[in-house]
Amino acid sequence: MTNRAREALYDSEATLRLLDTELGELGNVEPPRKVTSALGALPMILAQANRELVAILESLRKNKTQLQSAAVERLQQTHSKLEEVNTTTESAATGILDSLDRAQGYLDSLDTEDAANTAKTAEIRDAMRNELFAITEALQFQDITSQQIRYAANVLVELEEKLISVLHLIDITGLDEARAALHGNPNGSFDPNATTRDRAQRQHVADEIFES
Amino acid sequence: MKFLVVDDSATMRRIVINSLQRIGISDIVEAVDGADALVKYGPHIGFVITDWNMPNMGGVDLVRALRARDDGKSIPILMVTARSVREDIITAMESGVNNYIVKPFTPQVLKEKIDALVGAPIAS
Repeated sequence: MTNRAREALYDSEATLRLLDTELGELGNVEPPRKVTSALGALPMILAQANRELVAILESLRKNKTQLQSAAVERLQQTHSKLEEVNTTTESAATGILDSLDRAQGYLDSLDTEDAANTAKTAEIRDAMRNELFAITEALQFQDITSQQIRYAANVLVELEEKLISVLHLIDITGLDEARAALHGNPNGSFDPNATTRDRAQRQHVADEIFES
Repeated sequence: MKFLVVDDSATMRRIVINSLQRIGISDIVEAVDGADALVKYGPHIGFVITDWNMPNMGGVDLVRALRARDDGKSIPILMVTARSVREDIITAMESGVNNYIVKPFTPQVLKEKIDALVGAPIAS
């Protein structure tokens, strides 16, 4: 039984003893019949409430391990996976940018090496450059999605903090470790409203403000 | 003219720099956040392009810090950010940003804003 459960039991017993003493003293006077009846039932009601409280506390204590593993640990794992997604996509985006730079370089080389540098082949190379740059431009998604992921990860951290606070109320052990793990994963800066949608419309709002 | 590109995302720095190179700008210095930018800033810098959300020191704080310096009062500053809420844009403008680009952006928009700030079309 936890310290809190013991304290609750001790308080209940003390209250019962106090009530018993008071009832004993009341026995010397002639109370109204209804009051006597209600006071007589009170110890039973308090004893029943006490039993229910003890049962609740016992149930919470039994479930603490499940709560800890199912909630705190899973939240930490999810947070960690989101961070991994960020790292992986940034690494992939950097790799793609490297390849695009090399491909642009090959096109530049073709400009000088191609003996049959006709207007047609030059046109094709320009078209390829535009396509390669379009891929570069599209890679901006990584910055936006990483901010969205950081936002989600931050929400998880907040949930975890709240859950730890609740678990603390029912005397769950291992919270210090959970807190340490929580603060060992700081998030980078992010915009909670970051989005790839409605680019033109959002730019228009900015232009309006700066032109006004 | 030397450009200072400030963004905590390595991917975004690459994309901004590639976009600048595509419009003929190749004299570029990189910084990973506002604090790093202040270290790298100096009279040799002629134009600043900065993100907003960055660790250590964000874009708005960087702009305020630059505007508080004698050598930063008139430097053109362009903010390139995912933040597009009206109140945010106003905050950026009040901090001293000269113009604002919402991510994801196109090189054409970048060129237009830079041209407008330097007062003449840049090489393309």
